[in-house]
Amino acid sequence: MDLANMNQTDSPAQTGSALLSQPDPLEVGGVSLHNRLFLGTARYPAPSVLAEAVQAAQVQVLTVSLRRLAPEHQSGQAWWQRIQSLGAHLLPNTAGCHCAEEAITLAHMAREIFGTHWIKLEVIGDDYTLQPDPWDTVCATQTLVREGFAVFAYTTDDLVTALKLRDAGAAAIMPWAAPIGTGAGPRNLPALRTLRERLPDSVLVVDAGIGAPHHAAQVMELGYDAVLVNTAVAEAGDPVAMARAFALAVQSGRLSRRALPMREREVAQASTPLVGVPFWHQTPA
Amino acid sequence: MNVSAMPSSAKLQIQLNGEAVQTQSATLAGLLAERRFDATRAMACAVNRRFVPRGDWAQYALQPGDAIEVVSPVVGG
Repeated sequence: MDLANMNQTDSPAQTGSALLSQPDPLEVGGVSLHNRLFLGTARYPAPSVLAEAVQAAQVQVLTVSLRRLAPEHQSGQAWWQRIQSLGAHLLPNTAGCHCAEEAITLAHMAREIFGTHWIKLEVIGDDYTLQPDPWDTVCATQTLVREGFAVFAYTTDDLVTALKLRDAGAAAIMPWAAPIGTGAGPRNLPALRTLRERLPDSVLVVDAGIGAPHHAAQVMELGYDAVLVNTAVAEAGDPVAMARAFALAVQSGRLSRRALPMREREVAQASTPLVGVPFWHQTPA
Repeated sequence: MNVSAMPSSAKLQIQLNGEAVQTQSATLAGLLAERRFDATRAMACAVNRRFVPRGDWAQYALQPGDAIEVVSPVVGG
């Protein structure tokens, strides 16, 4: 049997895939990233576990936050030094802010402390669902962009909010997959797909609600530029291994997107060639 | 406000990280020292929800009723 005739003549196996050798960096906030998994730093069993997870997944972007400082509380200093030693880009968030004014002030405090113009803008509109406030998020984005920040705006999957964030100059638009900390995975894939289609030139990062690596691969296959995960790694039985699993899933989903997945069909179509089927037109005994 | 004009014995009633406190300090830097904050640490300040850059702490004159926030890095998602 001629095996060559069984393969498509333009298959990557024969011609060599350019995709596998081409660099595929993500340009965002003035830097070029090769790893599209962003990692949160909260809820790990120990700081050493976070450090190992960062290493295992080769993470380049870590989210951090700011909270009230008590003078007698010294342990935070050691944690901060450890985070700095990891060498990742730090993305401070404004978690806990409930209006644009608070978020803008906290962004300025973060810029001074962390020495970065990146800010993960979170303005919460509802404490129960932790759903972001679209009005104040857009308003704060407009102000912060004018003030020189690269705004990574946490939002829902609402299209019009995302369009307004784009128009406000957000460096990245970060829709949720599901509410923060639920691990439910993408609850509205059609809405996420619409965002990708309607904002083809924006950096889109899925933030919140990712529970397992296959969720990450799924949104990367939709064409998202990156995924931000925290709880799903930190609360895994083995956070270090899970961090690696997420990095692989993000990489896999991204490569799949670029490799152009097949179109879904309504009916079955045999993958094995039909010509020369053994026993064809033989009467069963 | 003229900082030097404040008598050293005068006490200001302010809010510090959400708690009512009295201070004899006339400036933000003075308050931080009085409350034993280590100013060499990574921390940032806001007064009445407005950011006060570190370089302004020494000159920033406190007013009665000021709400001061002092924050430092923590883990976050």
